[in-house]
Amino acid sequence: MINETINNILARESCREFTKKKIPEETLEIIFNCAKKAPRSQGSEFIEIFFVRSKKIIENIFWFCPGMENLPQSIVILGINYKKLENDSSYYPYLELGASLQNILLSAFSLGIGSVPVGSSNLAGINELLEIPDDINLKILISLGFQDSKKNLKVNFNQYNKIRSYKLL
Amino acid sequence: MIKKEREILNVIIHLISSSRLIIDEPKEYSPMRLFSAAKYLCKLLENTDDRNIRIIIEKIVELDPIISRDYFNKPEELKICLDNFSKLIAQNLKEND
Repeated sequence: MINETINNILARESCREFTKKKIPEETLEIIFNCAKKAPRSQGSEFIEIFFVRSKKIIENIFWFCPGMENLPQSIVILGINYKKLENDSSYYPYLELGASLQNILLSAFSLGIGSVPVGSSNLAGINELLEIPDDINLKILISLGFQDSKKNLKVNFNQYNKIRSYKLL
Repeated sequence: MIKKEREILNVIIHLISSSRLIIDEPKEYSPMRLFSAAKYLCKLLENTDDRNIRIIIEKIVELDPIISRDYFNKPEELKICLDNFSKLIAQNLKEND
């Protein structure tokens, strides 16, 4: 029953060390299309996607991200546009954002691109740095790049793998 | 802004961002963030001719991945590691004086 899609889901791991090789624009375009393809509630468009390729901007963003250990080749930032949301307290945007995020990570992996969501990011600072309108609330930043296998250090997650079973009802 | 000033400002941004983020993050992240800042400051001293400073810098570069990966969530090991490193810094300071 294992196929390529399932293999990708099971094989993907976070990548934090990247080579200097640029990610082709066509590859970013495919990743963007996959991000857009995430399920949307009633055709909503409140998820905003930013791709950063400029080395200078990436270098500036880096210092606002203590969780970013190495410079990536590209950065994707996902945000929620509250101007397009009818109900501010709805949790739907988070479901959509999560689906978009996973589509980005998996599509990148399937194209040979390493990725890691950078939770430790000073999003208020980045919002201002990139001059993003106040209606758009940045939520997560993703580092993308070709994996530097020479530097890639493995993290032992055994102690964190607590979800070992599911409940069959 | 001159290059050196900008490089120092970058470390300040790292520290301010860390201060803000640590409010919501697990407390285990705090030593890692401060040690990263130390590593970034070492980069600014990499051309030093001072033997003792070089020893400290080399040790920081060596310990950085160990602190962020191996000792994450191992407070006892981390304490011993940082205590030993503090002693090494003090020894080198004394030699320097």
